[in-house]
Parts: sequence; structure tokens; C-alpha cells
Amino acid sequence: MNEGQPYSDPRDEKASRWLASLAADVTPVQPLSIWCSDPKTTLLTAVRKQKKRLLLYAVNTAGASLAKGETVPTPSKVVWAEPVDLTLSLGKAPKAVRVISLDSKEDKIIEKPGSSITIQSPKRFGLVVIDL
Amino acid sequence: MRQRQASEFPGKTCVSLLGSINSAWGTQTHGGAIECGLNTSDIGLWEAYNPADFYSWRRLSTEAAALAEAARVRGVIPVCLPNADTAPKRDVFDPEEETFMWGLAQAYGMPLSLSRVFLTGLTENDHPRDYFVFERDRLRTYRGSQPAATIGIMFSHCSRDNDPAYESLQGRQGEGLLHFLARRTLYVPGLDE
Repeated sequence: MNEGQPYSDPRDEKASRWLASLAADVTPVQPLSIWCSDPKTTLLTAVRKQKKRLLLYAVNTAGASLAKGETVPTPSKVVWAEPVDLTLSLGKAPKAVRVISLDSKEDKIIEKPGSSITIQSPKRFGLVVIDL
Repeated sequence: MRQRQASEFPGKTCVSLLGSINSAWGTQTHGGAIECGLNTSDIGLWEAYNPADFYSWRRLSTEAAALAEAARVRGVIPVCLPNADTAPKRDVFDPEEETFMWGLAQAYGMPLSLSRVFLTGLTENDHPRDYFVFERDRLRTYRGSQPAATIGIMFSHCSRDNDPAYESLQGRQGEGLLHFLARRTLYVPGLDE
């Protein structure tokens, strides 16, 4: 969608939901599950596994809220979402958990975490390092 | 295909410009398909042309995930190359778009090429974004690693000569550095002549 052009949403919600449920069905059991306190959260998360670490990347974008036909603003703007509580569940308690955020005030070290950890989603971008 | 290509042109690094998977632009205009680009290159530049699509990061992240995996299985290095601005308003943009694209690229294991910085030029008003500080000062400290660029790509204003809207003066610093590097490393027709 170009800046200055009328907004239209080409997505097919029914098809999107079906594809999402299909993807959920075929996804194998993950070593980490993430639960958001707000079900409408639009947080982007990606988990990568290293030898003895899990890396959880989080981008807290809310996307734009535009009505159909509304002009896409120029310049376009990134809308960061309000941070929410994230509960991370693992099979067993990790050795340590560290949150490294682009906004340093959010940095956090959890020395003796349990198998379930609750942290705040980052304001913009954060990396959660889970030492297994 | 890449192996056959390499045997014909030994020692050459091939770089492909990969457009949007979701856009028909490439196949409609020049016939280049993303898959062909991936099959014939060492480095793939994912040109996320309009991250103004922030109404749905899902589209961009889906594309990033698909490209990252497609590049991985082919041994291609993917690089995120965002171009968020429109040509008539090249210098008017929300810097957070770059932050967003940087974060999204990080999530999918792609380095980010700051195309816009080079297209708009390195001016005295351009300050390093906070994610540079983040990588340099804090991420490195914790992970015990050094920032390492697999490749570096520079654009000079010569590459924008066909665009009358481009303010060439803003590209002088970048061009100067490119000339310096080019003369010390390799012969580049057109630059050294």
C-alpha cells in the first residue's frame, strides 16, 4: 500500500483464519510457548534455538489502523503497541533469562527463573535470551 | 543452476535483487522471478520496497520468513534492503520505519542494508539510529560476540543519475568513500575511468 493512496485491505479473513489453524495443526511441539495477556496483541515474535539457548525476538508493532478508503499518511508512520504481559512457558526451568531491549530501561535479568516466566513485551524491539 | 553459472564465471560473486514475493511487479515488468534470483546468486537483496505496509506486518514477516528459509536451503546470504519512501518525498519519512525493518530483519536472521540512508545521502543531519548503539554497546557485550558484516553494499549517487529528483550533493560523502574503497580493492569500470 503506497503512501498517499486510499487504503484497502486485500486480506480474506476467513482464508487467513483457516490457514492459521492449518499452520497451528501441523506445527510440532515447540520448546517455548508464549501467552499474551491481551488476546488482541499484535506482537511479532520469532524464536531461534542455539545449542544451549533460546533466542526470542520481539517486535512490538501495532500496525496502522486505517479505514477502507482512508488515505495512507505521508510519510507513513510506525505505530508501536502498548507493552503487555508475556508469559513464557518451557518444559523445565531455564538457568537464566535476560531481556535486552532497544530501550535500555526495559533491560532485565532473571537469575533463578521458574519454568514459567512473565515479562513485559518490549516497547519497540527486544531480545529475550533464555539460557537452557 | 548456480553451480553451472559459477563454472562459467569462476570467482564472480552474484548478487540478485529480490522483489516482493507478494507483488507481481517483477514478473510483470522484467520477468524476473524470486526463485530464479535465489537460484542464481550468492547474495539476495530482499527489496522490501514499501514498508509503509505497516498496516499489516504479517505480510512482511511472512515474506521475510519464506525468503530467509529459501535462502538458507540454497546457501544464499539474504540481506534486507528496505525502501520506505516515495520518490517525490524521498527525504520525508518516519525514522521508526527503519527501526521496524531492522527489528523484523533481526527476527528472521537477516542483516539490514540501510538503503535509504544512502539514497537520501549521508548528511550532517543523519545520526546513527539507536539500534546501532544497541548492537554495538549492549548486544555485543552480553553475547560475547563482535558485530560482523558478511558483506557490505554501498550505493553511490552515480546509481541514481537517471532520477532527476535525486539530490546528488547529499551523496558526496558516500560516493567518496566508495571511490576510496573501490580504488584500493578492485577495479570498477566507470568509477576508475
